[in-house]
Amino acid sequence: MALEGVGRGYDGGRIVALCDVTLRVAPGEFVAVVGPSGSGKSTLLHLACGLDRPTAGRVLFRGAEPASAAAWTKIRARQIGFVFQAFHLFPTLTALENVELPMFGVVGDGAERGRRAHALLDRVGLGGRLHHLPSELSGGERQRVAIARSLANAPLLIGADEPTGNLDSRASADVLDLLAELHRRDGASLVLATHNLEVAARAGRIIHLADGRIVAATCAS
Amino acid sequence: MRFVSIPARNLGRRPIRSILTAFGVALAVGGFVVLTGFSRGMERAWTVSLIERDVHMTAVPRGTVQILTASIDDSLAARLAKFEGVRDASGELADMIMLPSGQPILVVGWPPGSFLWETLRLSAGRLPAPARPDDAVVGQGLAAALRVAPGGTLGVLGGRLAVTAVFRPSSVINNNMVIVPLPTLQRLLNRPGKVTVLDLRLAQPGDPAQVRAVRARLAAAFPGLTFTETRSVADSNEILRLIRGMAWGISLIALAIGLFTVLNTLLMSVTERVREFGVLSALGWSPGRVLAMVVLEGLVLTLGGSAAGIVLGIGGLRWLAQTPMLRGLVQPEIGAHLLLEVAAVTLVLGIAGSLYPAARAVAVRPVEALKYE
Repeated sequence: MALEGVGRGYDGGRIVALCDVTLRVAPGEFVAVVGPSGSGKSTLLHLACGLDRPTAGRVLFRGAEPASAAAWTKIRARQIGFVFQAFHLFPTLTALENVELPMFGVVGDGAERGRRAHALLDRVGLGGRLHHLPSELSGGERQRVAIARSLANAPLLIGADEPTGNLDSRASADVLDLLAELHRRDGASLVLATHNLEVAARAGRIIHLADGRIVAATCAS
Repeated sequence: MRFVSIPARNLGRRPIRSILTAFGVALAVGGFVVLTGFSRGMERAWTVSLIERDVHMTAVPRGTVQILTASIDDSLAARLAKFEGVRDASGELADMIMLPSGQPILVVGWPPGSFLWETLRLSAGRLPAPARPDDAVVGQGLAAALRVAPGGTLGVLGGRLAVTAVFRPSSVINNNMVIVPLPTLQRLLNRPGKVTVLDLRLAQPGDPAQVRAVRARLAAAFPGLTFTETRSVADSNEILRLIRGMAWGISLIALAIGLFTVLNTLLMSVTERVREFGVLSALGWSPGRVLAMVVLEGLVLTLGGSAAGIVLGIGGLRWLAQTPMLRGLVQPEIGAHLLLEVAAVTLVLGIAGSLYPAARAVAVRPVEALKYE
């Protein structure tokens, strides 16, 4: 995934969320995007994962610029996973069914969808909570379900926007351990937006944003 | 998990709202079933009543709207009976009267010796004797309602008739009918020498081309009369057409209310779930899949409502047909044709009611989901 001179403005350009950002994420790389609130972290992540379109520059995925919203939809369905800060699980669906959701249109067989979702929930340690509704799970468990959901179609890129923002310190550590382990095992690129430098320290590279611009890039130890 | 279970779960999130919406659809569909079934029931009752009497064609004065007030010289029947292609003809005088119980019944007068008397299947008694002008035969349904039997008497239009027989018809109209000799009814109604309709038996009723040809010749020979084949009598009867038009008009209003109920509910539901649609888009759901989900929600609502509506409609129609005002006038009919129409109405309600909300859901950009955090 690559951003080339990307900018994102609102209100006819009067508000600039991101300005002239160039960034390349290599296959299998773990990149953290850090910065204070309003620095443009989430905007960058949304653009990188095709959830939003830039007002300047280009966003490339696997070397090509997707031509349309429909092209991005297809890429998101099969090659990009996303983890939200607020989990965004569907309250009427069980953990298993929430993980199945991204597979509609990708995996045709319902039984196969169920098997895959079961295996993913086993991987995130929720094999015993398959049929629980989100309201019956703790915050950490909900985020694990969301992580399993992001892996549903074996993506090449995972975007995680403040994935520990709504969790206590213990659950945060568990979720970060899980993300790091899954990234290491599956080899997908991971772009994580956070304001927490300790969280960012787990990444291979840290991009510092301020006022919508990249102000520094460091390699984590 | 099947795809269809997702919209079902979404509707289950607000069960009271979903049930009330389905109930609104049920009332609309029930209204459609009652009104359409009612108008068709009346048409069917009239048609069956003629078919049962072995009448192939009827003649009324040109421009007649209300048959019961039509007036034709009864001598015309003899001329028609001699017409080429006509096997027999009979005058018939009819009027609707109200019994003390409030039930409307049809009283008809047939000429002594008319072929119409031969079509009656008597369950008890005998036909009126030529020398007994005050004899009458009564339909089985009316006889049961009035508790009269052969040997009893019946008060009609101020006269006292001797019931000589009870007949067993298929038509609900004939079932609630009193038949007397024509001169008797002409006297009671003070319409001497007059009939309201002429009933014709044709020589070749099974040959559509012959029937059309005879009708054309009759129309040319008797320009003051309108000749109608029995099977299309409902289409050419102005009163029945008016009832049909009113039934359709009121049904359309009821269905429009049902449609807006579905639309309103889904629009509220979609507005409440903007974030979810953004999330689904972020997860890679195509616009078509999101649209299908919302349209399915509409269809689940309307299917549930329509099923309840059919039950309500059938019950309502049966009840209506038994009310004193309508007993004997309507032959309730819930046929495959009506059920197919309900299915089509259900599809239209479900799809039309959900397309706009679905379009709103599809228009949500994934980034909207994050704004709602």
